[in-house]
Amino acid sequence: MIRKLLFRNFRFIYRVSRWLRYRLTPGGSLILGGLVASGIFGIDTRQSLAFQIFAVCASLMLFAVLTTLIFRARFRLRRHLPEYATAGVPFQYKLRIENPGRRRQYDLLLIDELTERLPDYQEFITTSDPKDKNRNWLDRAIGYPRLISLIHKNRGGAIPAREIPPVPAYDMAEVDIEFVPARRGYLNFSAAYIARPDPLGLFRALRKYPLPDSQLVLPRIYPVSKLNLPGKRKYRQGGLSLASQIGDSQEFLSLREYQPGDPLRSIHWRSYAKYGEPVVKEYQDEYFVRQGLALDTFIEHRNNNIFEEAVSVAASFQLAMEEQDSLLDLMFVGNRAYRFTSGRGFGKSANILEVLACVEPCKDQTPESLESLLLRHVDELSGMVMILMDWDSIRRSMAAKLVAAGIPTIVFVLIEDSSSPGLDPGPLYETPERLVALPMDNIETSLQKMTLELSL
Amino acid sequence: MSSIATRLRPAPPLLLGAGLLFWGWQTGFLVYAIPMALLLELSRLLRWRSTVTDREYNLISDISGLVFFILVVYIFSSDGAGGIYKILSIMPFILYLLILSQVYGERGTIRLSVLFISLRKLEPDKTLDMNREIDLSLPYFLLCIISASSGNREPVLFFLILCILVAVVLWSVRPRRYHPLLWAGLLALSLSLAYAGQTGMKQAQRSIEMILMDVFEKYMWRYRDPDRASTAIGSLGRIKLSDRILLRVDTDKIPEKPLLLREASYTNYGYSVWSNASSEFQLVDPDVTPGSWTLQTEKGKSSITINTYKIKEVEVAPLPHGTTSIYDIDAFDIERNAYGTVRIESRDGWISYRADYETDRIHDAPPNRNDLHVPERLRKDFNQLVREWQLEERNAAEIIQTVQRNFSEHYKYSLNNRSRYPRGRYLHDFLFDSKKGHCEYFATSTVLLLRAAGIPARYAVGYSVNEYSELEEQYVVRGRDAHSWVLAHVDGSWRIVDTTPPVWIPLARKNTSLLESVFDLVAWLKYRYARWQTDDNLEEEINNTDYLLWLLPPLLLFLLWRLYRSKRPEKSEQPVAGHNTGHRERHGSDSAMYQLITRLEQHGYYRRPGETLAAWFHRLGVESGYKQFMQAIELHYRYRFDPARNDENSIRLHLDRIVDRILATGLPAIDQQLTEPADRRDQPSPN
Repeated sequence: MIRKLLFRNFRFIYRVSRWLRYRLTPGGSLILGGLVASGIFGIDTRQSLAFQIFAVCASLMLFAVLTTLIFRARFRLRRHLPEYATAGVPFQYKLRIENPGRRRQYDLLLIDELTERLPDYQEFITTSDPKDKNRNWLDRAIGYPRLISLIHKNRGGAIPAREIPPVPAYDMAEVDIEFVPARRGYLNFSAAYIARPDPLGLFRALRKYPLPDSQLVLPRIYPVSKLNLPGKRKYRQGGLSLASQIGDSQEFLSLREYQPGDPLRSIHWRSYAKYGEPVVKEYQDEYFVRQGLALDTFIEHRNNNIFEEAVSVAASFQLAMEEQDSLLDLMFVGNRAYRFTSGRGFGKSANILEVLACVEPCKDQTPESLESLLLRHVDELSGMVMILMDWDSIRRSMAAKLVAAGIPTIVFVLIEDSSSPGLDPGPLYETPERLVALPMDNIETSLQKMTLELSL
Repeated sequence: MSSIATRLRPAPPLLLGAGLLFWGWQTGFLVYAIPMALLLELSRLLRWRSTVTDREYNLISDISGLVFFILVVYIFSSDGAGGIYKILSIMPFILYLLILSQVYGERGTIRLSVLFISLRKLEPDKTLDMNREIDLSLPYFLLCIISASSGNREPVLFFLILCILVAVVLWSVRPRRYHPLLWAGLLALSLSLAYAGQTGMKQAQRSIEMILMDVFEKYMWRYRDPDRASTAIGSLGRIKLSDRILLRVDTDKIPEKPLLLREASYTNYGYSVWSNASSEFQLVDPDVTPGSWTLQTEKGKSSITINTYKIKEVEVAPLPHGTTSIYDIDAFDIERNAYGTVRIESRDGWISYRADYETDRIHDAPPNRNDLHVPERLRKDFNQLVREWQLEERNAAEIIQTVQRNFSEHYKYSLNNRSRYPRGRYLHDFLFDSKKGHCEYFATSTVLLLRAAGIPARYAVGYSVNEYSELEEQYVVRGRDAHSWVLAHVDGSWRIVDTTPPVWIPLARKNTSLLESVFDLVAWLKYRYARWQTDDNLEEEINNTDYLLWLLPPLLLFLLWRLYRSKRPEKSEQPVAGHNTGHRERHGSDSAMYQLITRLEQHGYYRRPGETLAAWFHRLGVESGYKQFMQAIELHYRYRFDPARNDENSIRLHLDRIVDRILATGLPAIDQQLTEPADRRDQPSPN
């Protein structure tokens, strides 16, 4: 009951603080701080002269607010978004502001806004925040920082306010905005605000410009080395006419622009120095096999963050295996069983990343449905990478069936933290190195280490 | 070009110093404020800056917090709640180290996490902007101004200087899109309204105080007037009695029935008010033993210790009936009147006294004709009751017994009165109709009834001691224990007659707050603390809390030692290659670009922390020769970071040439281009 009441208050406090952030300039915040402090100390006018400071601050704020009631200037806004963004990687876009009026406009602030959904009480109490372990007991007990973190995650990031360069009459200006998407999936922009300060520079007049837009954010990518799965090249019936060569080579293919997740060692330093932007070397690997990448979506009672990490690991392998001259089948179960094939002209890796950006945890089916999906296609596969969120009997039996079918299988299991006990290889007892535990607090290093060690 | 800042700007030159001097002047710390202000403002002339690490900032912030905490404890313990203004007045001292480290630190700002310990662990999370850098100079200035207000001197002059300082701050943050005249007009208007407002606030406080004082006197604290006592007879609704503990009583033996502590007795009744026609007080001669006054030569058999809080110097003291002497009291004078009321003159605040008493021997003045007087308008009612209860032909002892029995058998105790009657009819209603009322009804009726039956009687008010506190191991008396009873003159002496049904005690407790025990604990701790402090003051010349101050120097020394011993950053981590004297010489650190950087910084164009070279040049607004700058950056990066180190020499020569060219022609051009001094303000110390 008290917690529920607190939660309602938190939502109120959050709304008030957001309103204050939008409305008050830094000078205004200072005056408001002075107003509150002098209000406390000035309550007894006989004891101190703080009430004079209170009167001055209150009067200044009053006039500042009054002068922002009218904001006549009108603008036309247009947002230019890139095709993709990546979670956890700074992302830039432009916003063009057109001034159709006769007056030069300056001293303006642009506040771009993502659609915000405040969590309900159920979501608030059931969602755990990994950052909680770094917070003190009071913050953890009260839960307000967790609420802020949750709102931030739901929204998908925090876009900083930007100063708008002067916009001459009948002209336009562009504002570069950069922020870090906090999650994968679609970010929805709702509106942008143009703010104008009052003559005293304390309070802002705001004009809202509805500007709905959406931006796809790809999952976070970890740098992983290429994973050479053992596997026989099999005869594929039809659909592989693009296969031009058979064999292995480390032949230099081309240079291309750096993409997040590319290993550092493939950067071509000379070209980097020449162009000023990172460029990577691309080699042509002439393996020709069809590999499977199975993603476990059955979150059950576990933390949602573990699923997010599983998606990131899957995306990282998807990107790493893209360069191989082979087909890659991404398989997972959502509201139904899915298999997406990429490589050799079938589909671009970017499309698969888009799929991964939108994959949701499966709540209405059991892990057996993934097993049946894998076994349905087992004959076509040369090797399999499984990204699992648990290593229970169902999942072990899934891996056992793949091993029994003669499919070389590497299993990555996400575990809570580095201190968790080691995993029993189970069906992988002959090749225990193919069972890799990825602790949540150390995924990046573990992945790099493991993929380098896996000399299969 | 100036634009709206999304972060607080640094304070304009001399403002911090002015704020500190203003504070020093107002609070009497001018001797300290002058060097403090000079040291801060000197930073604008000095180029010396120290590398202060985040850890050191955190430590300074923690020291300030700790000092603040210790001072709060010390000042509150010595000055009580009034110490809040003393704390306010020394706040600029407490935070001075922090602002000093910011001003002389290389960064020129501090991280938000320095001020909030809870943010420190969250620093890696950059998405939530936890690492935000803030400039403390304007908040510190505001603190100085608010602290200055605690000086409470010359309101008009304070207001004038306040307005000037506020105008300087607002001028520094004003948006350039408005004409300065508009700004000035609006500011003048605001300040005029503020002046009117502050005058109004002062007057409003005066009015509110008057109203509150009235309410306080009426309901919260019952001053006992020895000449007059208004009763709640005739009041409508439920009588709300306070749960506040007013007295603490320690007795040498457990009383058989609730002990009554009298404050005053009255003889005349009229329209719900008891009064005395004349009650002259006479001084009681003190004994030879200090702090001892004898009221009667016979010694009482019982003794009692009473603790109470006096808010006036002269107040009526609650005492048991038949008090023979008062001792162990820190009083100037004790006086009493003919009706047994005793008044003590002493310091206000907590007071404790012991009294010997003998309840059976009440030495009040003998009865006079007023003690037999029944008001004309009530006489008919009481005579009727005398007849009904057949009191005419009985002796005094029997009358009292009958009255007590009848009241306890046929009347009920109640704190509610829901009926409205014409003035003067309340007692009639109580006696014949409702037969319900509180102690004042019972006592008043009994006095008048006894008088009608021919027994002299007086109305007495005070407290009933009935609640033993296990926590305090003594009796506590609350506001709700206020009681009234009767003194009847029987067989040549005064006797206590209490006709209120004993059920009144649990009934009065019925609506006790669930939190009463918590409040009691707090009240007891406050009482113990106050007693401890008073005792210490009496016993020792020096206030014992001074020893807290002795904790400060060793603590400060320890913290300063920690600060000194804390790990310094390695010199090799400094961004400027010229300073790179460590053994970890990095490749490319002899790049000519560093000359350019140094020269630009010498000209006052400072680079922000973490700012890339390209972003810096862009911010500086170089337009002509922009290509040259970009070319230099590109060559610098190749020379600095290319692991293959191809054409290293040619790149270096090329870079040297470009930098020489920029230095020869570029800098004056930049100087001309940069008309806006705001960019220079990003630096820690402008030239």
